[in-house]
Amino acid sequence: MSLIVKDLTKKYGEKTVVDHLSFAMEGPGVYALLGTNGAGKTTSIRMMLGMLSRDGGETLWNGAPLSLETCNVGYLAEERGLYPKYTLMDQLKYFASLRGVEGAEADKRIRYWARRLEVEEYLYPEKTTRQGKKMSAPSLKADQLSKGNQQKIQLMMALLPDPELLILDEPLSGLDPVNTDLFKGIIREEIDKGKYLIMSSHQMPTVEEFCTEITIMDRSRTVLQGNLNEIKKSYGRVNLKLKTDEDVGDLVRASGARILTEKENEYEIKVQGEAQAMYLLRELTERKVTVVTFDLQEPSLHEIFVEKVGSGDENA
Amino acid sequence: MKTLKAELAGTGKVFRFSLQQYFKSAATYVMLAFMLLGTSASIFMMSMGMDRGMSVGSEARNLYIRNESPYDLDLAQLPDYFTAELTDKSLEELLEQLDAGETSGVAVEIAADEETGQWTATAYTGEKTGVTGSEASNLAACCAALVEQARYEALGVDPAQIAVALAPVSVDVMKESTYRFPDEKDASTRQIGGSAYSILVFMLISFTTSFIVRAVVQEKTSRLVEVLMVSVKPLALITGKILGAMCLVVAGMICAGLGLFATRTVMGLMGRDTGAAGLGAFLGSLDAGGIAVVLVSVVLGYFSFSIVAGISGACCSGESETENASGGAMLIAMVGYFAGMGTAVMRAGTAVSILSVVPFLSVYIAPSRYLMGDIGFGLLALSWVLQAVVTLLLAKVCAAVYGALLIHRGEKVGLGQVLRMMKGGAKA
Repeated sequence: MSLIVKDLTKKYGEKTVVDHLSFAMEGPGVYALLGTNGAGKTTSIRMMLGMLSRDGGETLWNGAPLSLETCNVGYLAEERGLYPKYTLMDQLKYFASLRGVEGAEADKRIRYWARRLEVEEYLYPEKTTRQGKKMSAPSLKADQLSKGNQQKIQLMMALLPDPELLILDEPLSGLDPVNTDLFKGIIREEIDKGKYLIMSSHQMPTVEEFCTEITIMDRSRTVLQGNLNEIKKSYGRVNLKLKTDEDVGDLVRASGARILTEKENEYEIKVQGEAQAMYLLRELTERKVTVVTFDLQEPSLHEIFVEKVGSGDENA
Repeated sequence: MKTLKAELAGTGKVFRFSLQQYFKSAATYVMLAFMLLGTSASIFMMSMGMDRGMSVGSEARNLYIRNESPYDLDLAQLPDYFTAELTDKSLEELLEQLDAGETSGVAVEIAADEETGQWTATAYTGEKTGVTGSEASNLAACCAALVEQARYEALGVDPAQIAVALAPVSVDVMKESTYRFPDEKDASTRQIGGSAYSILVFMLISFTTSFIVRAVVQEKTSRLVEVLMVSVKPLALITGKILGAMCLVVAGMICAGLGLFATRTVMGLMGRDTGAAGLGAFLGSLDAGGIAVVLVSVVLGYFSFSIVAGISGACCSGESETENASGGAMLIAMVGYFAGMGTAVMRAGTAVSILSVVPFLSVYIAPSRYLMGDIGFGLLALSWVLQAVVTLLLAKVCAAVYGALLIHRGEKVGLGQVLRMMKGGAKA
């Protein structure tokens, strides 16, 4: 199976909001779509899913245009919502039925995901009668749930059809640390099952944790694309973490390296390359400075992102 | 056809869910109860408030005849919806009896006029009688006819000759137009029929429009549409909602019909008639063919107005604009309603024929004018074809822009923007 996005373009009048976006997933894994707010990520996803008309390009799944008929897609939209006054169970069954999952199979899957996402108490609540007997009660309505729990129900909706392609638009935004770990666990399980995932996120550590391939978009255009490890390698090891037993700030500056942070003889330094780092290490050794930590790393995705899009508002 | 089928895949599921949620809401039952009780109450009030002279039913149940003539009256000749008896009671005694509370009794005294010697039949009712003056007068006339028949019999005239002698000569008044167009319905029938039908259609469309706009705005503001549209096409989404709302509106109409039927039955048992309520009279006069004609027109109109309402709802930015969103569809509905009411008093002619085929207006005008014989089946069929074409065009517009409108955020979308979206949609 493969997913190919080719020259996807969208214009609103004279303004181009997505400019010839292309990428491919030749096998299962996680692909990250990154970009600042308004870069065109969500518009691209909507075009891929056929919700928005496009001014050019196509999305192919196994060589055929991606559609409801050709691909079983699960989607967690950035704009989260549920019918506030309808019961959760009704809504889940409705969504499952729209994807052809009905009857006992729907019940089984809802039960599984309710347990996995720890929302059983909302979907299968119990009430105690006056005689002290416990009885099952109708599931809660959406507006009786916290935002985080609503987000779990929305993820359930995306997972109920057991999709082969899962698109998650900002899946972890607004979650507390416990639920973030819960969601991460589920994402890992889906990867292990051999699913194709497309993830759009502003949380760079999460993207680094899961994604192998990335596209960074800035103001409608693709500014960086490729395998994350290869991209990092291409930048070289330029981040140095240094800890010594005395103040070496002047020595570092004299070597031509740039100190980013400095606290109690612990430094984060930007070097121009490995040669400069080795030169600095030699200087430290010659001056008999005790080096506690000398850790030379590739740049983080966060740094690459900020460098490429320039604005640095990825957490906005 | 294949494309349309693909666009509509999942409609049934959306419809079932919409309907299920409607009937899980207490507001629905309040609305249905209101339709049932409101119709009953309004028909009852209309009937009670009506001038008694308008009633075509009879209030008279007992007829007491004080016969002072020498002739034997054959009471079997009288209509059988009341009991008639000859009585020896004095007129004073009879009047006391009627005044004592016998509201459905009438006393008729047949006595000779002291001055002319002619026989006179005089009808008397109590103070609180339910019998109208014209009905009492009719009963007196019936008794006078019995006296006349008995007089001929006393003279030995045979029954056949009596029948010829007493055969009534009817009187009629005719307008020039009725003479020239004998098959045309008279103005009052046309007005009652046309107006009643227009009211019915307007009620249906008003309910529908508000339901659909509210449902679409609710869906849009729930921010769930994006996920929905992964599973179902926008046209199926709106069609399922339209069908769901249609069932609810039909349920409301059935409740109103039940209210009407129950009230008419109860009022009938009470001896009152609600026929002058117009709507009931119009519905009652429809045969199977008439019902089919009305249904085709109403269903076509229903879909057209519903799609307009759906697009209007999707143009809204929030629930605060629901009222405004209903405005566009309601405006067209109002124009149709006034056209229907206005043409109800017009005689068949070019204007009626033209208005009968204008899309949206035809929903209000064509069926009633066809049923009254003012337009032929050809024009009716043309009105259906034009309305169907408009409905399909609206469906096409809806398919092109509905999805984009639903995920649109920001200010209310204007008509110009909708047209631009349509143009963009064609490129996909």
